Amino acid sequence: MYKFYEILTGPGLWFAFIIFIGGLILRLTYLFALSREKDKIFYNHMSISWGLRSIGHWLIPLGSASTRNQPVFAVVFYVFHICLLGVPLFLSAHNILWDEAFGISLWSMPDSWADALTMVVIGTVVFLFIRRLARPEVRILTSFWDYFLLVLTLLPFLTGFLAYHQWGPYNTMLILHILSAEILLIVVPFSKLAHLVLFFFTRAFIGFEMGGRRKARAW
Amino acid sequence: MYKKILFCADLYASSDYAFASALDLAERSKAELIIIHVLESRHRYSGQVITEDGEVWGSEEVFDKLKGVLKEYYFSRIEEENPENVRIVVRGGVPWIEILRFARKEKVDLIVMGSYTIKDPKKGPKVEKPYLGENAQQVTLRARCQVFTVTSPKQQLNFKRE
Amino acid sequence: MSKNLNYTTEQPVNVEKIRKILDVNNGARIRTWLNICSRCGLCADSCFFYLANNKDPLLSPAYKFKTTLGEMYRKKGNLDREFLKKCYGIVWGECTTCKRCSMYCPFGIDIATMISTARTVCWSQGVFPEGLARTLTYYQETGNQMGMSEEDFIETCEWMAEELEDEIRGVTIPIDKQGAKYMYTVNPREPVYYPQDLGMAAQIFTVAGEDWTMPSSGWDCTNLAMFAGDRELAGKVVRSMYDKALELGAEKILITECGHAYRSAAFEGPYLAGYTEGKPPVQIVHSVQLFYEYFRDGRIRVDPDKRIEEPVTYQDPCNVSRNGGLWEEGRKIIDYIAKDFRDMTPNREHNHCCGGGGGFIPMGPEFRSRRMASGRVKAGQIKATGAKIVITPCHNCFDQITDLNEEYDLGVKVASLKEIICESMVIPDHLKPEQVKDQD
Repeated sequence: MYKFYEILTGPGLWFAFIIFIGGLILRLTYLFALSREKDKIFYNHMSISWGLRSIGHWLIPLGSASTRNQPVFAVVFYVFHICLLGVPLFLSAHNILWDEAFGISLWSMPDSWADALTMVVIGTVVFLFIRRLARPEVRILTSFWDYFLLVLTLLPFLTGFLAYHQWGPYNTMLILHILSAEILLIVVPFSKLAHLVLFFFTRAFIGFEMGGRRKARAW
Repeated sequence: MYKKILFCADLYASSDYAFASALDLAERSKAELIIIHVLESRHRYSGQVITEDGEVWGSEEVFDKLKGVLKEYYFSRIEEENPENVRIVVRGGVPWIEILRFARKEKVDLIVMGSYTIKDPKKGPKVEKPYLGENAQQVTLRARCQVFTVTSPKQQLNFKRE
Repeated sequence: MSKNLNYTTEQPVNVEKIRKILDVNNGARIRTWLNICSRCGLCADSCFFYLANNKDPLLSPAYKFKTTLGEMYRKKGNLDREFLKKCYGIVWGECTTCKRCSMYCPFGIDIATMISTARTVCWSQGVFPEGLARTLTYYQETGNQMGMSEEDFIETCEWMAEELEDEIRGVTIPIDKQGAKYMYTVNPREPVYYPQDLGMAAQIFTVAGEDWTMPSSGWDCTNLAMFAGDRELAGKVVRSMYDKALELGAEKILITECGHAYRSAAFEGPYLAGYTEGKPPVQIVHSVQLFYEYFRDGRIRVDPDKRIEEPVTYQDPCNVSRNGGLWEEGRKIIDYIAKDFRDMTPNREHNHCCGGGGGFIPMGPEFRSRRMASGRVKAGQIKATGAKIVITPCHNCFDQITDLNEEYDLGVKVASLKEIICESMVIPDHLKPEQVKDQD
């Protein structure tokens, strides 16, 4: 058990992060090279201000007409993303580990906040899952892979939550927590979860295309 | 007198009186009588025409079929067996535009037409009283030759020279 | 839904050709779009096909591109005719490439571009609507989509100039004038079906004192080849227009009130015709822009007694407003010519497509029932404004709204900007015809 824990928090974590960061960098480089080869003409229309506005309006909750059409979903969606990124980054338990390993750490939020926000993440994921089943226009697009990724995203939070409260066998929970998080990190560069970075590029592109060329507000 | 008379047919009895006048005038003037019918489009710009078979492309087949129908209808009203000086033409589009275009190209002397028509064959006659329809209005205003609109049998032209 | 669809050939599918097209288009843009769609379903609510057809999930944009272009890439081009026929029904029968969905997608995925690419693949295998097929032949033979000969065209111009003698003194349609400021290009449907449009344009230019000319060739600014997926022909068509403008030394090319002509000439045309910088060799100006400038600068004035009293609304043609950037100019013109303007909801660049674009009207009677069904959204918008007149600077919107008017009993009259401007503009004394002056 402990051996497994050692591997996961040692080489396992290195491996996961290297694949995560390296994979994303590789994917971006590949796409950049591809765009210079096949999409060269679109470089003619870059307009920084429109690109930034296009990104910005969609980073603000309800900043686009589309999200205002489905406000409940939009709010859940934003809260989900904020907590998804915020909780792992600002969790005291994680920061202690970083501090121990490298002497660096970010600000840590009080555990009670982290607890509440983790519950929020779990709640929003359940909402998104149900939405995927309930709305026909979403259900028809959804494949097994989409459900799988949603569950995979949920697992680190769920297992972390359970481990923190020591519900269930602690060691197993902890191992599952780290394992699921590592699998998630490895999957990100190769799936739609790469939208972590690609979002900015596609949004900037449509900002150039609709805004830079035609002054149409794509939000 | 007139050398070329253009009669605008609309396939319904509303233009029959106009035909009688046109025929009369053509015989007296020994003019060529051209019978034109324009298949109407519901659209201004698409070229899709309304026929008995519904909305179709204005193709040669459609026009030829209609020519046959017109021939049957109008030739039966002419006394001569195979009248030499009568021509039948079919076009598609906005009626008054096609009439004016044809009239200009052929340099006709006179246009004879009824004053209104039924717009959609499927809907049947919409009015019981005659009125001045758009085609009659536009042709009368824009044509470079004389235009006679004939509405009722009492208006049949009488050229008797006293 | 699949009845009466026309396919032009039953030959075996040429997989090599398909692969080539897919490969050329497999840049970072399309590849990322296909991968990053997170199936959130937000695009569905933006598509008027989806909204008009009882929110049928099969009509959501994401589903449409996933089952056409997505499948094409997934199968690596190994398609069969059955699949192409299915695609035919979707890419031509369920999408007008209006680009509204790309404004509503969180990632800004341009579904219209992907549908256009799928159209190109289908076209390469001879699968495309008959209505567009005949225009392609005409483009090749005569350089314009209606197959009008140069002789007929000039004859039509002369006819219109003659008609206008009674209204404006000295109006002519100058053909092939060298070095004019504007080379005016039209939609061939104007000279063939409603030549009064040419006359009205001539009237407006004469009153505004414009330096313009009508070319004897390259006068077709439309580009149905773009909608048929025939990119090579589309490039040829645009190039002939550019070349004529360069030959005549015209300063700018003026586009009539046509939607997709502006998109073709100013945005997609340069790439289709091989200008890699993305800029056309001659500046392109749309009529809406120019007419607005005339009003703004006082070159055309409206007779205050003739301003429209009835409530008026403005149909934003997708390719003039959203994809052309001219929505404000259109509205500003209406402010001059009408007293009671009622905007639709949504409006400007978020306005819905009327359902007649993307080749839909030229595609013919076989697509009519689909057009009428999907037009329900637009009909609802028009009815909600309570307007009696719909003004639209696009031939397809014009025809489509005429149809919708009948289908949904809207009780509206449709008009183009030129019509209204001509009816209500003040004709300066020196241009009034002789007789009128004598009677004073």
